[in-house]
Amino acid sequence: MSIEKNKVRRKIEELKNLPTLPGVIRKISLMVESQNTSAEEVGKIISKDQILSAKVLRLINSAFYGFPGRISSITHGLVLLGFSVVKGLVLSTSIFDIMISKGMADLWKHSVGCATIAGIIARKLNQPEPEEVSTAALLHDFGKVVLKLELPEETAKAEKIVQEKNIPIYEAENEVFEFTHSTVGNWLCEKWNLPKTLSDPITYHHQPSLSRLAPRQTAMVHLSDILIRAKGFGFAGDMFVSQIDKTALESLKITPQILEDIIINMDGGLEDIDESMFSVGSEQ
Amino acid sequence: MSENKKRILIIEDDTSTAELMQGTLNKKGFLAYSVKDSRKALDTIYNEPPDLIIADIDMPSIGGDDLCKKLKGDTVYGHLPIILLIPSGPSGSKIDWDSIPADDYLIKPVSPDELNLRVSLSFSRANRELDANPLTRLPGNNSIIKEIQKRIDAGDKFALAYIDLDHFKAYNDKYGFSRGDEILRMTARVVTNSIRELNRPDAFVGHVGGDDFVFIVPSKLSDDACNKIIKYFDLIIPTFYDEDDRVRGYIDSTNRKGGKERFPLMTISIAVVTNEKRKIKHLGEASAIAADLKKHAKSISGSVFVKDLRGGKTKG
Repeated sequence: MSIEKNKVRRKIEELKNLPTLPGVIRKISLMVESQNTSAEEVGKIISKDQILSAKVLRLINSAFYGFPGRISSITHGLVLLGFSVVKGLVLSTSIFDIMISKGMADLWKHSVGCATIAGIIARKLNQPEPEEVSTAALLHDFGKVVLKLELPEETAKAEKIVQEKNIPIYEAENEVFEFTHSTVGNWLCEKWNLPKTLSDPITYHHQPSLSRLAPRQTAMVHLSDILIRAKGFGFAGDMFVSQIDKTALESLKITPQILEDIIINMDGGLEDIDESMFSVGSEQ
Repeated sequence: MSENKKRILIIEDDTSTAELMQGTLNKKGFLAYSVKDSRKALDTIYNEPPDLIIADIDMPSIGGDDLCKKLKGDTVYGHLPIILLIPSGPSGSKIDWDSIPADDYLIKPVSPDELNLRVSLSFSRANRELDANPLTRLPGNNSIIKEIQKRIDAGDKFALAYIDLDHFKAYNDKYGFSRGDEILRMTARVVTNSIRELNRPDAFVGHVGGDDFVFIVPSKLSDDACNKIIKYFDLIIPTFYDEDDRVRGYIDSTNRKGGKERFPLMTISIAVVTNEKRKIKHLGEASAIAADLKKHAKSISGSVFVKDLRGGKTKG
């Protein structure tokens, strides 16, 4: 049943066309074409879309620009790329076809929700770069998008196993592929020279204690992933809300009081998310 | 697939023309690849940067001429040679090259021999453009001198700004030259993008060398430009330090006398000379004024810009 891992890795690393949801592109194309749009406004939308964010970070960390592995913030990436390159990047991004869009919309919600909560946690804990943590959270399930695109049949198989055996999606992925979406995320982070502060949370959000280079960021993304699942906002491939890793909570020094504060702040943050971004049709 | 092969991107919606060119160039030892849909071309350029681009001027969606304008305006992509494919006959002969920054052209239908000649000429011409700074690809001193003189001759009211980084040497000494080069490339991007945001075709950015940069803008816009550069530089610079140094807010490095010293994170100093209130007759005069201002700017801690406010014929 399993497929050859190295072959898959090579195929995924050569990935070129990364589409996104039609709602996002529609919204952002209108902005980009209007004369009065500021770079900040475009940045705000880009930082809510995992594909466009990944594209910005991939490009600005590429060897071509001459400082690979340095930029983990979308805002910095946008300043350094410049508005005209960002425009080109957005306008040349294609959209998923309608069937895939439908399957992706809930994953998008999950990712944006997770990013929102990660930002709340990072600020609550006085993390020096809170935007970096929300970016890592936005991209944490990036591997799932790529698997769906590149290995659609096998991914459908994994989704079926989730239903039948009632196990988490990463266990089902392991059964089908002998690796998970986190592995795929890790391959792409390495290939694209993304900083460790992003690649560690993407790689280890299910096992935060394995992170060596960005344990704080990883623990925060781990916690946000679980909180957003508990909240039932979006859908990440299964209905499981796993246990919060104890060492993660301890290393972040999160007391029950702090956790309660975070949970209280969650609702406000999630209400601000513009759900029209996840629309999948081509209608207005 | 050899890594050293020069990569040529063909943007052409007509399959037979694209295949002919691709075959011819590959036979010559290039690595040619093509896209049909010009909207996808930028994506391809960003993902697999070519060494040269051949683009058809007539295409549905974005034509080769528009693509040319887009790419040439950018510091990173601006150096890519672009050959435009144009139709034979009257419509081709009406092209206004002043408005399309292409490097060369080829008339359709393409002859394989001419294609090879044009491509090799474009590569060798690109090599001859030595004035550009090899690190940042920004125009160097010759172009800077020409640009300033052009404005003096035209009698324009302009602001000439000299930029340099504070504590760059300490960073270089501590982190090494290649990390230092990263700072210079980053600064080049920050300055060019800030100036480009002004949306003025008459604005100019150059790289004198090392951590010295120059920009020229209409004098009214200089404050705006300086504020942008300072804001962006201060925003991004901390990420170029290792985490412990960033948190501490300083580095221990060696000073010019070889002793140990504590240095704050880098900041940016800008000295702005304008001919708004006084006449500037030549570059020498401008740089003398700038040198004084620069000293003053550097004596103030943090990122600042200092403007020449002396009016009339006052000197010294």
